[in-house]
Amino acid sequence: MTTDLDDLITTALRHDAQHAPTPPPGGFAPSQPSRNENVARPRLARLLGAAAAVVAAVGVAAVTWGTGRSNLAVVQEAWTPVGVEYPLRDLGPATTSSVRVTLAEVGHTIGVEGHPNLVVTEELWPITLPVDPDRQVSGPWELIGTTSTRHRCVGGFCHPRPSSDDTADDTPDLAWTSSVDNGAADFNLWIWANVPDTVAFVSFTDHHDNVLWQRPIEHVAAFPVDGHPRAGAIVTTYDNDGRTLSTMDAWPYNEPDGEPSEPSELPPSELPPSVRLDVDQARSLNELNDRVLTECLTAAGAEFDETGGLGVLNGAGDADIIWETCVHTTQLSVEAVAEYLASSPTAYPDPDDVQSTGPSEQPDPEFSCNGCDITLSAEQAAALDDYLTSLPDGAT
Amino acid sequence: MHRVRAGSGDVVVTANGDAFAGFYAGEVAAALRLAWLLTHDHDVSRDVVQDAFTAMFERFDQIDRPLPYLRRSIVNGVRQRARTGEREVARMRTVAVTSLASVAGPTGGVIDAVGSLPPRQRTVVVLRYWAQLNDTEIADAMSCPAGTVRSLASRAISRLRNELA
Repeated sequence: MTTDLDDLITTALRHDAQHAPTPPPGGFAPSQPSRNENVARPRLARLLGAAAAVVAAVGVAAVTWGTGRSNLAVVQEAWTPVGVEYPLRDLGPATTSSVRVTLAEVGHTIGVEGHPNLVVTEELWPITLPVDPDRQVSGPWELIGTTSTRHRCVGGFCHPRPSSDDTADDTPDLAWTSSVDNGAADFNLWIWANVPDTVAFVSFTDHHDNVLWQRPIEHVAAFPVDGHPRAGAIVTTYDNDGRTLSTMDAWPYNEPDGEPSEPSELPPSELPPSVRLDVDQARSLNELNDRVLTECLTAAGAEFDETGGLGVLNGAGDADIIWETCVHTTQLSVEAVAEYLASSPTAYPDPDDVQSTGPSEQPDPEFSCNGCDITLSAEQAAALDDYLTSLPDGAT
Repeated sequence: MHRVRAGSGDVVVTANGDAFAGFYAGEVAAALRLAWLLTHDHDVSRDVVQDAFTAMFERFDQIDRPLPYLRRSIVNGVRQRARTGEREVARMRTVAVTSLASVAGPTGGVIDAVGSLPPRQRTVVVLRYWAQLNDTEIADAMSCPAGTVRSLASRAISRLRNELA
């Protein structure tokens, strides 16, 4: 049975352990000796040999380790974190979409040691949420934004893209894959989907103080874990010179007793609620979003796979420019419809306020985005004109 | 094999296939913490850990369970240093006095009390409460019977309870 004294000692020792000396940066030594060498070697040579197994280093900086004894002079290359590198590999454009329309060339496929490749995509979502998460199919839904927003999807999880990538984020957007879902690896993969631009290295220290590190690719860092990261596991980010940028809990959802828990399904929205939609309206808004984006990308030369989700330009143009243009066009279209909905009578009655919602306030059952009478601002009208005239003959 | 498992004491095999490299990289920080908690001396901690890894490198292929081996090497290294040098012995005995700057804060009193324990009692406390080892694992690290571990732990806890009361 754990007593208060036990807890006090454990806590004190863990706190005190933080004052331990740190390992030499990058290990020590430049050459790899033969393990089968039978000739007795001086201690310095043995140390260098041991260190060579730690760092295959070439460089110029000299470090020492061991005060008052041999003062080993060794060489190292550019700074890297302590621990075992768990590298990611950039394998080129995305090969699949997550749930919505995207362009392969603005996404990435990332190779992960011992794990199926991760696909990173950027996708465009109208901001609608089910009012009752348990009744997603039958609605009602709530329109909580005025246009579509960009999401980064990694490993099947999608997060709103951060508005700024240049600051360290102490509440990382997390995703994960399970060993059951990924079907190949015998570990779960902890994924940080929005690593800031300024981060050169990310290290992951588990609750046993094992350390893995890597260079993020396309704002993604991913580490193998057994289940979820436990209480005490931390993530540290560094710049190229080894300066610590941020330190944070690896899994912000752990209970006080250290047991991991799942995050809530949907983050609380800070966007002002706009209007409630019925199921058909919500579906129409999503269809409008996907249709306008697909048509725009197709007009620009993209070819779509059989799922209709992944467009590939295959050199038909500058992917970034085409994507940005089509995103903007789609957002204007969705915004116009969203504004129409927001200015309409309550589309779907609040079950708690039935008395105040008479039949005359029910939504038009024939409403659809294709047929609705929308009012465009001058900018929206101009953008849609540009968009429509850019379509190939017959597309409209 | 390219296997990296977080949260285990297994040998970590890196992409270049060098098991020792992975083991060193994965364990060196914890090894230094263990040595620090036993000695409260940065220099001695580094030396002990350095010696332990160097010795392991020479025979790493023949070591079945490297993590217990490393712990035992560190515990032995600390004990040998305490035996062979007056300076180290004095340092061990006065840890609570010389290390106050590093144990400031709400838990400082506990660290002082742990530091005042006889070396073997202190070792048991560190391995049990910080390394979270069971009595059998502690016995392995200290090269003594498990019954001795329980006896040392009992005396240590009793003494700490009195000191912290």
